[in-house]
Amino acid sequence: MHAPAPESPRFCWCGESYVTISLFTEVDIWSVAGVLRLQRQLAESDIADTIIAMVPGWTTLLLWLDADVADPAAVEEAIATAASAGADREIEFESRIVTLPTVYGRETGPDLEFVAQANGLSVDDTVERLQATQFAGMVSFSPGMANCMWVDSSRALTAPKYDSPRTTTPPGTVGLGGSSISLYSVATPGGFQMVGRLAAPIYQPRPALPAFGDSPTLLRPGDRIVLQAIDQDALTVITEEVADGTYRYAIEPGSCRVAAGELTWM
Amino acid sequence: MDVMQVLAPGLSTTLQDLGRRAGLDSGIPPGGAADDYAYRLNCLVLGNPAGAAVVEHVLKGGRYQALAPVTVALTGADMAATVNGTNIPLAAPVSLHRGDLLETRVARRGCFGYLGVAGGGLAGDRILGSASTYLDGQLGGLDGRMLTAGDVLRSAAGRAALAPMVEAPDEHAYLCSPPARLRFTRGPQPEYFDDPGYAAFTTEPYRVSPRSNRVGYRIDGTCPAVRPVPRTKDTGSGPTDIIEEGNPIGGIQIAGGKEIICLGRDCGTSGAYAKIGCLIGPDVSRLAQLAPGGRFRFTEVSPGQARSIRADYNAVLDEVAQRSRAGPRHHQTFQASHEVTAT
Repeated sequence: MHAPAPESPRFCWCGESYVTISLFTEVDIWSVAGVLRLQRQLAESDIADTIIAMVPGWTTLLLWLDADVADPAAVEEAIATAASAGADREIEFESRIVTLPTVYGRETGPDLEFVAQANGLSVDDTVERLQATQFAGMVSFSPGMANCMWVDSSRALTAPKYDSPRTTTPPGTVGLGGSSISLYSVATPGGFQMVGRLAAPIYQPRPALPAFGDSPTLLRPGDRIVLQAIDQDALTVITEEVADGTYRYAIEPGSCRVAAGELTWM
Repeated sequence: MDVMQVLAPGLSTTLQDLGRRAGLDSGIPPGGAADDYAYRLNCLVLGNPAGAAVVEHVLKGGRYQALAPVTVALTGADMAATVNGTNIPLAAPVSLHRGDLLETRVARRGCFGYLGVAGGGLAGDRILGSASTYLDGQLGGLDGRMLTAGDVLRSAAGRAALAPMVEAPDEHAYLCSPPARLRFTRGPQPEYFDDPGYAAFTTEPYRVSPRSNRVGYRIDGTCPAVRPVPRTKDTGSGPTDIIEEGNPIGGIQIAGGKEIICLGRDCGTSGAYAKIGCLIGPDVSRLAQLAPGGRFRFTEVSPGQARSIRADYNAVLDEVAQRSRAGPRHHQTFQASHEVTAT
């Protein structure tokens, strides 16, 4: 796997507190890795303590700065330095492996058969492909909502979005639209095909389960996610464990190394 | 300590503070008071630390009964506040006795009004360092929801050192007075609009739509013409669809090529519509004070001008803070009539 030639980044101040940095024009695993690499570089740069937050996009990075202390010239220099050094430098970013038990099909995944037909596959083969490792490039829009792509693009499925979006989508729904998987965290309108439902929450407004720690959201940009198929009996057990606060998510530490034309998952 | 009971809550009344600095990369918007300046003025008037939780009223105030002796202050929208039927001033500390009735009404100027209590502010669910209520995520504040009749507001005592109270000068009570012009910087998708488009955008009159809330302010008026930009496999098919990216608060989205939406503090953390510009920070607060139907125009400024305008606003708050430090001569706590006229 080789990186496309680095495109020159451009940046735009948005008011006095934000900068949008555009790195790529096409979305693929390289663009996402490139954005996460830039995020890591800026977090280690001279301007790190003037950054309030960074939001990775598919091809962009949004910087939210403390405008009362940030020096705009230093910010622009740090962006240019990080972007120009980025292509050669070896950078690692965190990429945990999070296994999320999922009930596919049935009433909580009513579009599974349509997706199977659209891809010319059996339902069993479709579920197998849905269990191939996903890469969460963005955790965004709704609280804790993960937007993912297949790590191995040869395993990817494709499906059109709904012609007319649903007015609501149940929390925990696994949706497929284009070649992206979205994990819905709260009830929101949506247009992705509903193929299954997560057995355990990825958002808790009052963090209660141990895996959440102090954060109401479970997933982070850069996570690898395995949507593991479970049956109704396993769902019953997990539902009880979630209710009594004892459920343990399977989360393994991991990282991704980006270096001269190679992505290495560890 | 229980300080006040909510007798009537207003329309969409929530607890707010400075908002969250963590969570933006995981889908949680910063939240916080829609008019950040009126909020910070409230903290200064009461000697509270920045970050103290306050009640935020939208368009219409509520009725409260003091459950203990407490000093309160109102800033932001003028909601014709009374204590036991007597008018009370904005941006000044007001002492309430147990049983006193504090009433705020429909805003006669501005849109977002703040009710703070001295002694460190109100208690709420602190999530990721903030008690701000995020309604769509049912997070923070009082169980992540609006205030409702019967709620008891508690003080969050013992959080930080308090400064002396101070009365703000009259001219500061409307720091973010409803504006005639809202200032923005260009981009981050200027390629979707041409020069005549920007020229029209900065000369046409606009109005705030009634379909506005803390998530976004919908703007009625002529949408700037959109230039055709080639669609790719990664953009949607709509004329202003872009590859999804992080949302700046104040971003001016052109949704579906035809609808203008200014992103509020509770907006989705990412979006996939082109942004013609982004409001400067102080004008995100000033937009909040434009009631539905309020008229204004957009004006373009440079990022450097945006920084300098921000400094001017900060200087005004600094001046109030200095008055506070200068001592108690600026502190004349307003004493309301003790006679309770309603229960």
